[in-house]
Amino acid sequence: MFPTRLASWLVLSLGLLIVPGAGAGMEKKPVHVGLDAELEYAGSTSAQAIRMGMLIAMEEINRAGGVLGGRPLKLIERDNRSLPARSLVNLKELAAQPDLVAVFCGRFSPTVLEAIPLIHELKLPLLDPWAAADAIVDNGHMPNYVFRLSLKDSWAMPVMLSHAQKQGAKRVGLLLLNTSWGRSNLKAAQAHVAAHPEIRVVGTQWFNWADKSLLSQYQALRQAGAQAVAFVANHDEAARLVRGMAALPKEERLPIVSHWGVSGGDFFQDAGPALHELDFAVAQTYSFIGASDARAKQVLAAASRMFGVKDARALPSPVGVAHAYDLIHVLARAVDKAGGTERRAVRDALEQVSGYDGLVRRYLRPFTPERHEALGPENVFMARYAPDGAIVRIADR
Amino acid sequence: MSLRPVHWSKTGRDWLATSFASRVAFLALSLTLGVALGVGALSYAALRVQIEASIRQDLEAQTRLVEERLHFALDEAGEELETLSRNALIVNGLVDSQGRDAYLLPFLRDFRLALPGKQDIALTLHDFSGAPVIDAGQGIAIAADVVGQALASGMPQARIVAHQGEAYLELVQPVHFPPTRSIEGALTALIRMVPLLGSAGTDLSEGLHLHLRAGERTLARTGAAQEQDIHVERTLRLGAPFDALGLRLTLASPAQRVQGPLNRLTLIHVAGIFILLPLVGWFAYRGARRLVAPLERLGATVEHIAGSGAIMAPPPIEGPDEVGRLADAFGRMLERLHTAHEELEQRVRERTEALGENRAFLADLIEHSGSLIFVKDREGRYELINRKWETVTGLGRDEVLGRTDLELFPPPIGETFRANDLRVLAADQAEEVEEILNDATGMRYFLSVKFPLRTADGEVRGLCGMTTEVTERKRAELLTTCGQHVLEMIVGGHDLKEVLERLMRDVEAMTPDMLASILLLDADGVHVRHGAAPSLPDAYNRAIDGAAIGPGAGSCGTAAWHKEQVIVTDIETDPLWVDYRELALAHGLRASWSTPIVSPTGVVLGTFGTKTYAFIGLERVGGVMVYDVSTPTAPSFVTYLNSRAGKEPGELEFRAVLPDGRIRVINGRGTLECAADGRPIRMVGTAQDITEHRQAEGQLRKLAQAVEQSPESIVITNLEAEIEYVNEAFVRATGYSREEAIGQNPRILHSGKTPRETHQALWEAISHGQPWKGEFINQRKDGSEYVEFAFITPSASRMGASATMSL
Repeated sequence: MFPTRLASWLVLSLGLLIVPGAGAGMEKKPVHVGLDAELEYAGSTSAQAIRMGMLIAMEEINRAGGVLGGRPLKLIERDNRSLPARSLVNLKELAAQPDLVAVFCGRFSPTVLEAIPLIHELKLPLLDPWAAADAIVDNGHMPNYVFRLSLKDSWAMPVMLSHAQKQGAKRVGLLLLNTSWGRSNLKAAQAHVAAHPEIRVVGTQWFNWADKSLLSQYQALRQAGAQAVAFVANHDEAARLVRGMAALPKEERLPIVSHWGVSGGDFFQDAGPALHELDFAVAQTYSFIGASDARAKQVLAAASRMFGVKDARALPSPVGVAHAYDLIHVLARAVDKAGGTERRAVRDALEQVSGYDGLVRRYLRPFTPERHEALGPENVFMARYAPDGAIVRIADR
Repeated sequence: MSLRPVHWSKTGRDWLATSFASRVAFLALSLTLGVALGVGALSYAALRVQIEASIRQDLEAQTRLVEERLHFALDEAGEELETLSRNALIVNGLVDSQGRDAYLLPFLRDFRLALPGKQDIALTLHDFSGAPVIDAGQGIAIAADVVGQALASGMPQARIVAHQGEAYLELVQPVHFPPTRSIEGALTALIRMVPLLGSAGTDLSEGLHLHLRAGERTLARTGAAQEQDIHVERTLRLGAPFDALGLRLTLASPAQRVQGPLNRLTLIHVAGIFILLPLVGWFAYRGARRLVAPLERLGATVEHIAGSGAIMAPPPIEGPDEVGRLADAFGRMLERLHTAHEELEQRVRERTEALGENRAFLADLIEHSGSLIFVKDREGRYELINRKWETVTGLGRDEVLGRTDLELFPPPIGETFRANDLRVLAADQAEEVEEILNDATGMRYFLSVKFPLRTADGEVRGLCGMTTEVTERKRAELLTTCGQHVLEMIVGGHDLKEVLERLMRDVEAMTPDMLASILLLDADGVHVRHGAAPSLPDAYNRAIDGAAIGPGAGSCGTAAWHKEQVIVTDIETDPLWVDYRELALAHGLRASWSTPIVSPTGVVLGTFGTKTYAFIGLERVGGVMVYDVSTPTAPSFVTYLNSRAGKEPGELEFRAVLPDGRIRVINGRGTLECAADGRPIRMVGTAQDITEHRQAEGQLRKLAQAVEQSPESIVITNLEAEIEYVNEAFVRATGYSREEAIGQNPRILHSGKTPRETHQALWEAISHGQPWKGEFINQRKDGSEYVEFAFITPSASRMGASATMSL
């Protein structure tokens, strides 16, 4: 905690030092950016990773003179505990905040999905650095106030199934969280299987939030003839499955290809040593490990400086950090382009931003009026947990 | 032709009055009816109480049963709802609102609690603010405040709500959201009350009224209970949170359920009485008839006796019972009566004879009595006198009977008698009166007891008197009085002439019509000197004075000469009175009675009344000593007359040797009277025997010396607590001189350290005349203290007027 505090203090001090040097006429009134995410959710690291990415990017921007000719960006946080009901209350509060230009959401698709009608009612731009359900962006609203710089379920599932197929699995079982996120993935899987007859889905099993054990569903899939399991779950349910599978005989442990929800929390710690006895692959969009570009180094240095993160391997939920970082830079450009904090203008400007060489990729135009997805299927890859808990990309053979 | 009721009741009364059996039968009937009614009323009341208690017990058991079943059902529902709230799907539902239509709504719609009437339960899931997330409530309004309470408290809540006139139990279970460990929603179950209550046993057996209320709201009601029904109310204890509903169950059993058995009992009872009464009446009448049959036979016997007057025993009655014994006892009584009648007649005959004897005896007794006995009628006419009466009055029976006292006696006497009689009659009681009769022998004194006589009806018809002659006693009394007068005068210092005159007057008073005189014998023993004669003429006295005694020298002279009594019955003819006859006759004297006053030993003795005095001349000292010698063995000194002292009153103390040899100390005071030539005539004064006085003085002196020289301090105070005397030891012990102490209160010795209780005890004892002893802490005159043991006794002075205290 100390480094975090110290870092905040340093940011403040540098700001004070730099502002006079930045020249006269710089407005001191901050431009607010909201965050409504699962900050208090037990064992979750996704919201913290998103905040880290936001703060690192905001610090860079503020140090470089802020937005709108000198106004600093400032973060306002709200915790929604992953609950849509709380999220709706939070969003209304944030919308009432003057000079708030946009709100970042968290990991949980159902929570975000529930907020979509309210977002459009409030005309509040929602920037999504994680939640993957297709319907978040494909919401049918025009103009659409949702912008995503993240994975999309319909991209993740083909990668996961292809990976299983590469491992030699022809019959796959689906083990899905019984939420709109899970159902979003079922659609994606069905779409992929329809296009690829060489792989077959032998069964679909659902589990619920806070289910004590997923083993019966897993065994049902195995008995249905599944050679691998495509797994859509969050970190806590995933840890439960892994611990349960570890108790099974070796021959009953099927390879798992997992959606990336597991990387949003303390999965590695919760799953324990059992994880190393399984073939457990997880979808990802970005990894700091092996990144050699200057921006990645700069972010890692800031993470180390501001949050005491030792190195790239120790960075939790790295996709959250990377996506949030890039989104803040895109937002800053959009605010400048909009020339003010008026949200409709900012929303319109987001579709006009161009030429940002970001951390995850180089964005010619992150968003257009027709496309509110900043990433693409080509950004998706499978990774594996290293013994130290670092998420390491699996090299294509 | 109809008989009036009054006629019947009169007939009934006659029937009862004339026959004992009827009364017994009537009594038995009344008793039976009374007992039967009493027992009937008691059993009625007891049965009623029992039935009511049993019904009440039954109702209580039913309410308990309902309570238990309801408790069980609600407990089950509560637990099941709680389990459901922990269900992952429910938690999921809080997050995944997109999936509600797909799976959660059907799930909640299809979920059924383990309750009876499952189809009537509606579940609703609320979010953290209480807003319904998934509403499977079928449009039934949910009380939002209950949901709010459940969310705020984290505890399940229950409430009764109404929808379209039907009651629902709203049961709200908060939902715990595991990832954040907080309450993030609530699950509400709406349970229709009717099937729930029905299965809990409120569909009770026919005829019972049930009323289940939650607060003032009626949840279930069967029938309408009446005021007189038996009620049992119970507040249902259903455990949290259902106690908050305040469910109260009232069960009532209609009063008819009690009345039915009671009516049957009454019917049986009345029928029983109708059967019992004629039986009891018949038996009682028959029994009583049999009982009184002997009495009737006895009655016939008695009737016969009454008719004939001859007492005869009745025929024996068979049977050992009371009536038999009564008849036998009556027979024995008649026999005894017969015997007693004969004894009585015998006794009457004997008594009649005895009465005749008694009457003769009484007549003899009266006739020969030593007292005068007489009977007079109311007018004072004599009816009876006895012989003594005749003897004393000298009047014969023939001249007395039928005449009054006024006719028989001279006026003053007869009038006095009559007056006494009238007083007795007026007082109507016996009286004792003294009456005097003056006859030839002189004054005669009588003591009469007179009392009124009564007729048989209590009316006074006359009086009876019994008179005893007391002349002798009366004279002796007069003499005694006389002697006392003389003695008083002698002791009082009167001169001899006065004494003698008084003596003569007393003697004259004793004997009316008699004149008395006393002559003193001169020193020569020959001439007499005039002593006292208050009634005799001075001329006579002067003539006598100086006359010489001798035979024939008058009656007195002759008596003195012969030293014996001389009685002259007729002075006119008696030779003794030759010298003085003319003189005596001239003064109306007709008879004389002379007696000398002489002492055979030279000591002159005088008799006054019953006492005899001895006058002893003391030549050497010139005085006369007077002794009372009435009791020959113990003469006592009376007075001393001294003639030697001068004209001034003189005092002389001397020893006197009494005739029996004892020595007495005499103190005499007196005044000498002398003639013109200086010759002493007589001595007037007193003499006092002071022998005891002298002895007492000697003892007192010794006592005073002992007190004065006692080593113990002695203090004497009067009742005012003033010191009257202290001894030498006191002076030494206290330092106060005798002059300082006397007149002071003993309080001067108080140091103030003697306990208050000691003084209280002291005065308590002294005031009751008791001695006291104890300890004082006292103070000397110089202030030093000393402890003193004190013995205090109250004493009476010689005067007896003041008590003193000696310390």
